[in-house]
Amino acid sequence: MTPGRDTALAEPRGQVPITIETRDDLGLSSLALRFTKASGGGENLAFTEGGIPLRIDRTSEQQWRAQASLALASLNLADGDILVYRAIARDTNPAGAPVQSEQYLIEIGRNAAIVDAGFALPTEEKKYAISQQMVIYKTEQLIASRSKHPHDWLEQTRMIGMEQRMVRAEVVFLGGGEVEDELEEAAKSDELTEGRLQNTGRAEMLRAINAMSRAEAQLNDGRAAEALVFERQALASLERALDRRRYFLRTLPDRSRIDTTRRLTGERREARSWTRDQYTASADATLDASRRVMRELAAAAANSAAVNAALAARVAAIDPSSQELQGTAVAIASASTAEARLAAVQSAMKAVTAHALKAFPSSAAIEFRSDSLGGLLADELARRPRP
Amino acid sequence: MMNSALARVSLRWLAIAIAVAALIDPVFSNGTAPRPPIVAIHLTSSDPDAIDRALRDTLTGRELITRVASGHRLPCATDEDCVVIADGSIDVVWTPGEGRPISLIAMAPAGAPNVSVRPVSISSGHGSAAGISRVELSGRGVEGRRTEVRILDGAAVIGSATHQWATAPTATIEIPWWPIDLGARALRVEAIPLDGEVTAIDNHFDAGVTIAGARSPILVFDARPSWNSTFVRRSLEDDPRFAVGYRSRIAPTLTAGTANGRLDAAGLDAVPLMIVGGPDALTADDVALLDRYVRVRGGTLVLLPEQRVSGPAASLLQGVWTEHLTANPQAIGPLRAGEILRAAAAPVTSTVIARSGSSPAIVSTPSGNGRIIVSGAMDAWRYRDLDSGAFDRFWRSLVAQGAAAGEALTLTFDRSIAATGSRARFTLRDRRLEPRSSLEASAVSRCNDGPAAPVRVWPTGTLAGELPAGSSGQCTIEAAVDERQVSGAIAIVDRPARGIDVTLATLETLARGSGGATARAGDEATIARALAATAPPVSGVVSVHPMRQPWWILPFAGCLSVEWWLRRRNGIR
Repeated sequence: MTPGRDTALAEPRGQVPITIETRDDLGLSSLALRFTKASGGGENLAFTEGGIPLRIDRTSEQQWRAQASLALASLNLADGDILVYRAIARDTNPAGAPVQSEQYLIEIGRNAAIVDAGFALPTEEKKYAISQQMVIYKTEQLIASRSKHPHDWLEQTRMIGMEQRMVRAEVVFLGGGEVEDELEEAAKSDELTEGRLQNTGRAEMLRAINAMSRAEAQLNDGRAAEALVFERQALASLERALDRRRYFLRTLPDRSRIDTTRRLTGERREARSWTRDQYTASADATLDASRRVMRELAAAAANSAAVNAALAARVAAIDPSSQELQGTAVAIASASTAEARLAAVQSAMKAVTAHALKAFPSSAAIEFRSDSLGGLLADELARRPRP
Repeated sequence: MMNSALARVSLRWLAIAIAVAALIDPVFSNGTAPRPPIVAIHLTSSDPDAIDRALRDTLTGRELITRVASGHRLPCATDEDCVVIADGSIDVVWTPGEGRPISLIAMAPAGAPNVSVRPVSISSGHGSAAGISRVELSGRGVEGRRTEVRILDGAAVIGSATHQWATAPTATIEIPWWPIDLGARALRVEAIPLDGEVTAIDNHFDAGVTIAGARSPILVFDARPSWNSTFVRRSLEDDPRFAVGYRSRIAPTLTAGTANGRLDAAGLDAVPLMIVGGPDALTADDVALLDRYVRVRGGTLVLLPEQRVSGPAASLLQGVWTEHLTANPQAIGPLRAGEILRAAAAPVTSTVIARSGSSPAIVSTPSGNGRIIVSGAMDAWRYRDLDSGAFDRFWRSLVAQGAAAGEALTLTFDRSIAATGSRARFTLRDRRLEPRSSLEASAVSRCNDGPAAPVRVWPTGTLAGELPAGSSGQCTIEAAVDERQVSGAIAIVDRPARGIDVTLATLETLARGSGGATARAGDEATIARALAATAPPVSGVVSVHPMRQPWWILPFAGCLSVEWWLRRRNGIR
């Protein structure tokens, strides 16, 4: 879905264009764009659900492309409101569950606009990021002034290490308590990134804690430059963990569940082979119209008298939702000179070709030899390998 | 009176002498003879005056006459010394070995800016699928400019692509195209000339493609349930080019699939391509049948392993294959995979379709009449949604090509496009799991909307025949071999352009095959030396028959007429 990012706007005005690409190996049956509006604040937060109309371009049964325009003025958004939108698609499997895209936010408010692409983090959480930033800043300053600390270098680095330990302790507290075994937690964070647990926020917190521990160890040994690498890793993980997007549950709907109660309940004697109907895909029916029009265009290229409004109408009728075809149809209808008519016909042929190529199964250039002597040579070489 | 009598006698004897001499037909010999002229044949789009002049200057003692090829045959008699001057824009039919050596002077386009286009490959066509053409562009003095390449079917633009020139002088581009009709089509691939381009003769070529309409039957057999073959099968099932039969062995005595999905001799005889998933679970009997299907029947077998293949099926894989597992998926041609089977070295006869790093990973190896394709991208199905459907495109295209090569009865023309008035040679191949000792074959041709005409086919190991390509359009051969039927079509155009590089290379091969010399324009002396070395020996005696001249009838008749007039004047009867 594009724009695939959260957006902050100072005022609820204008249009937000949204494009959705959907693909399913079985075939798609429906696609919708839904939004949730969060208004108010504190205990008075109110939610409103709604849908946004889509213009769907069915490239094939398996691949749809949809466009929508979110008119912010019509949604009665106020300063501080948040709009969450997501696409929901269904495939042709009647037992299948709908699939939901990632959710994206549009935040309205002057504060949101100020912070550019990010969001104003709540003060309590932001301070951890700031604290880590301060540790980094102090480390950088210390490295820059190393020549001034020939005798108390280790003491200086250990002072920063102590600050790092304090920041780490606060972050651990924010995460819900002490980390018992950091190595085990670190291992778990890898599992999190592989998607086995769907909570990337927790994974980032664990990474931040782990990086802070390493930074502290380096500082205690006087290795400030090495510690700086881990401090920056910790800051990056902390910022990702405290991202505003974490506040919204980006859950997916339940998948089809396996009925575990039926497991191991069948009779082996009753097992039989089975036969299913052969599935054969059918060619796109609109291609015949494209072929007819292409032949007419080719004839018109040789005879400009055939370039007329009727031909333009037939070009446009191939797909009324195609802007390219509509554009070339207008060019054909409005061409007044022989050169303009020829140019319009050439342009229309390109547009019809581009449109038809979207409907066809596409091909890749793959070459392999299939000469009859190749097999005989291969057999002979297999019988008598070359020394 | 006396003088008149003498004159009469003289005239009479003179006439008698002429008649007697004519009867005797005396022979006189001459010791010198003129050397035969050299014939310069122009196969060029512009008049090669400079080359003609240079040839005249370098040829000593021999006249140079020029001809322009107007038909599709080379206008050179078997006893003539001919020099072909060609720039590659005109193609002719030329059968070497029928006369004296023929030499070639090749004119390459010079100057800048210039773009030339050369065919690399063009996919087989189907009415329900897009095709793709791969062409090589060469440019001189074109940095920063843009070339548009179009594919035309007649006047219809059925594909186009643009190339932005940078510093590289060559580029290979792929142009997708779509078929607007079934049967044999003559496609023209052309690069739109740039402003000020020095020549346009190298900006286009013609290619013949046959657009099929029938579905290819494909059989997918899983020796055990296999994700790999399941997703390949789904990709094929969604393509109207294929009718996919399927069977999976889900337990020792249980199978699942379509009714026509059987792994037996009758089922295999009918399919041009077979896909096997989980080949490590194939039995020895399965492997023996598949081996016969490939070697004897000439089918295409696609193996989709999910681990290193051991057991009976290992004999189907040529060479040593090893497993490589990677944390992140790697590119294997257009596919991606993290579990990869790599070949240590592909046999010399194999075609490497895709590599994993430098190692072959998807390989086609010919075997007997058929071929075995092994895909080492074992978990490519996991990444099938990447790259805008590259997984589907790859497998559909590979299977379409493999199925075309594995048909049981095939009819192929030597050339994909024929010139008007030429003869197009075709070959019929019939492959069966149980070959027959005798076959009954017949063929008829239909050109454009004309009636069917029988075509003779000759047993030449396979079956071969010739089709007279009369007028431009398309001709179809409908052939039957026993109970099987096949048809093949060829596009016929007046003067097919195969691309100047291809045409010049063919002419050069033919010239060398005839014993002639080849040279570039500007090196005419090489041709002159070769002609001098191969000049026919001049005969020392030239026989002359003076009495065979027809004008002798005039003095003979004159003598008799005057003698008769003198007799009448003197009153003698």
